[in-house]
Amino acid sequence: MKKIILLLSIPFLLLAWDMQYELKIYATLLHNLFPKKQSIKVWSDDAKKEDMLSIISGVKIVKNIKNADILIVEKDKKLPKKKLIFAINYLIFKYYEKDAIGGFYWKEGRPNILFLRQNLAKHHIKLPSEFNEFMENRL
Amino acid sequence: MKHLLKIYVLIFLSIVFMLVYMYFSLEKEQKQFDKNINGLFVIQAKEFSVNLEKNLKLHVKKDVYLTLKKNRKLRDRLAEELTVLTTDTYKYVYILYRDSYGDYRFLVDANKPDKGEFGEKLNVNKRVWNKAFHSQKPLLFSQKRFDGLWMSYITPVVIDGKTEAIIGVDFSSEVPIRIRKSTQPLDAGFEYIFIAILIMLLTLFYQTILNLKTKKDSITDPLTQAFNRNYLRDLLKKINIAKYQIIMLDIDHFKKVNDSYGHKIGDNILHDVSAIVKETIRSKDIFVRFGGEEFLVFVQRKKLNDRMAKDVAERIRKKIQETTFDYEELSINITVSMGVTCTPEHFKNSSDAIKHADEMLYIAKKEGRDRVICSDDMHKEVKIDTSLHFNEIQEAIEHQQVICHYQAIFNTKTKKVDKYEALVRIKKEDRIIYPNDFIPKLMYTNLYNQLTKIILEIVFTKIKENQVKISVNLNFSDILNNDIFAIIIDELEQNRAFSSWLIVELLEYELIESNQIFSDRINIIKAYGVKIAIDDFGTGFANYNVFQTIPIDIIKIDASLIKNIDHSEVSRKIVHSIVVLTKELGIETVAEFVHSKEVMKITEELEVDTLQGFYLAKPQENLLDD
Repeated sequence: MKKIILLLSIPFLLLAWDMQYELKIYATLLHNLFPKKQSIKVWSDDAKKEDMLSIISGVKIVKNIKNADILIVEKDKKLPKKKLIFAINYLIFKYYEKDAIGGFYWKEGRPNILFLRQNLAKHHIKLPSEFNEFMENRL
Repeated sequence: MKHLLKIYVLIFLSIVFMLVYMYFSLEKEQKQFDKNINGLFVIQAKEFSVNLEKNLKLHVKKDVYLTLKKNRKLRDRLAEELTVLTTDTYKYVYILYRDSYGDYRFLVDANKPDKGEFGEKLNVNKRVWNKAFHSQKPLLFSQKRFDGLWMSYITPVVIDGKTEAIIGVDFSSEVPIRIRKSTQPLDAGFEYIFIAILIMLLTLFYQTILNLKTKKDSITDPLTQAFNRNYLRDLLKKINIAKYQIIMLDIDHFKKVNDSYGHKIGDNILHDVSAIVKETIRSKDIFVRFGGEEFLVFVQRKKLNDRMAKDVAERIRKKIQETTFDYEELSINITVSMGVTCTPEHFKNSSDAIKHADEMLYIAKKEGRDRVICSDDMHKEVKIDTSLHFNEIQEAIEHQQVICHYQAIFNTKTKKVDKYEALVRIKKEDRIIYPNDFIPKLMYTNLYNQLTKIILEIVFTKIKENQVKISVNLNFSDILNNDIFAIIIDELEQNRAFSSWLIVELLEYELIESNQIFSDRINIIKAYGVKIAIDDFGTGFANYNVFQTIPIDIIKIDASLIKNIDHSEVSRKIVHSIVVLTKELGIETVAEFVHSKEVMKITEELEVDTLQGFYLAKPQENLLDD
């Protein structure tokens, strides 16, 4: 009986997976950026992102930038550049082009993911080969 | 029943086929409908693209990227023009260029809330875009995005033979989506039906495997992995016995193995002997555990007159003889005896052919065991036509359907029951089968020995319960048979305290003449306190020498003398003389066949000691005193 229920619920699970796509991208990204961390401390200036990221297992939302491992940025242009910055908007990504390790935003209904090689190297970050197709030298 | 099953399968397959056909037809129709609807939007998108291309070429004569990079105003103007085209359907209209890395970046974007900046990379399906870029021909393609199903119409802008830019128009109509949504329950319905059918088929498959396994278990003996009697019963119904020769195999002295080493070792022997037999025979031969330590092998013959079974049997015998069966610290050597029916076609039916193999086995045992007897020239045209087949008799014996009826024998003086004569019967459901209908078929088979043992057990149980004298009938040949004699002694040993209540009534004693072994054995039996009676005295080869050779306690005067005693003076005088003589010898007399009051009266006058007959009491299942 359990098998039948599981079989019948597969289409719904797939649908749910589709809806969680963005969340999955962030989860994959954060766990690959901090593979050894039990608790990843994330700061964001976007409340919606905070809500979404707080669902990810092993992620803790912090209010103080100093305590954060990574900053997910929507608009704030006064951030300390030593911290890991990840942009969620092209313009802010452009602003932090020399510091941000990457960005993820929607454009023309398409998800755009980009990582800047030099900035990753600055922070001694090496991402798995699955991320190679998103690596760029410039914005 | 089989036809009904075929009809069910046909109906089921027709339903499945119809559902599959409907499902694919629906899919095809949906696609066609989508195509038609989309066609309308594509025409519009094409027109937009053509006009945009014309407009772009009007403003830019060459090097689109550099011109637009330098001229922000032109970019804004073009963006404004693109914005005019954007609607809920044509949501994204943009112009991209391909950089030196092969990435596509914005030149102009009409999207207002989230506008693509000049030079900003857009994540596009590069495979399709490159195709349009290189072929310089417009392309239409669909893509599934997170907010629905989208179509993209991309048009390369070619100037002086070089693709300078690509105009992209992304559009999505709610109409096909709504139609898709409306048919989704139907699609889901089909999917669930298919899943249900799949589950049903898998369940059926699983059920079939289980049935096959259960069927195999029901026809296989778990210890030896040979077929069992259930299988044999079905086999005999459908087999063409002429195509086979039959071997009946019996493990010699198997009872001794069990008694000496225990049943576990006995089981191991059965298992290992079976393994040897299976190794020796071919896959097309049939190996059946007939019961206990008896097995049957149906050897498929190549030619009508071959002796293949005999050769196979010899090989089996030699292999078993040469094998030492090692179990823990025990090493046991055993032998087997086999009887072979080489020409089953000469028999009336399969059961009789098997019985013949059993008779041959009996001879093999009698001749010293560890041998194969194949007597194809001894085959018998079986003439016995009785109500029970050999198999049925064996089943009856195995299923404890053997019973005894008891006929009372009365004391002439006291008029009370003096003793009983036990008469064997087979009780099949409510039918009583008399010895004439099964004893002849058992003669010279091992089953006869088994039957003797069962009768003695039944009689001793009755004696224990009632403490009455009961006689059992035995042939003189039974006493001479080593196996049967061993059975008798075994039973007497086990029931030593009650053996003096037993009377052994010997049949066919007239054939004995002078036999020392017989006399010795009778004396051994008598030593347990058993009384010896002889049956049917006074006719045939009766001679008085019997009194010298057998230590007789009782004689039963032959029925032919008694039944006419009221009419025949000669019979009366013979009976009288027998009574006078036996009184002198101290032997008790019994008059059989007392069927009327007159006969009873005369036998009483002649001073016969005890009387037996239907007039006095018929044989019945319970004792008169019960």
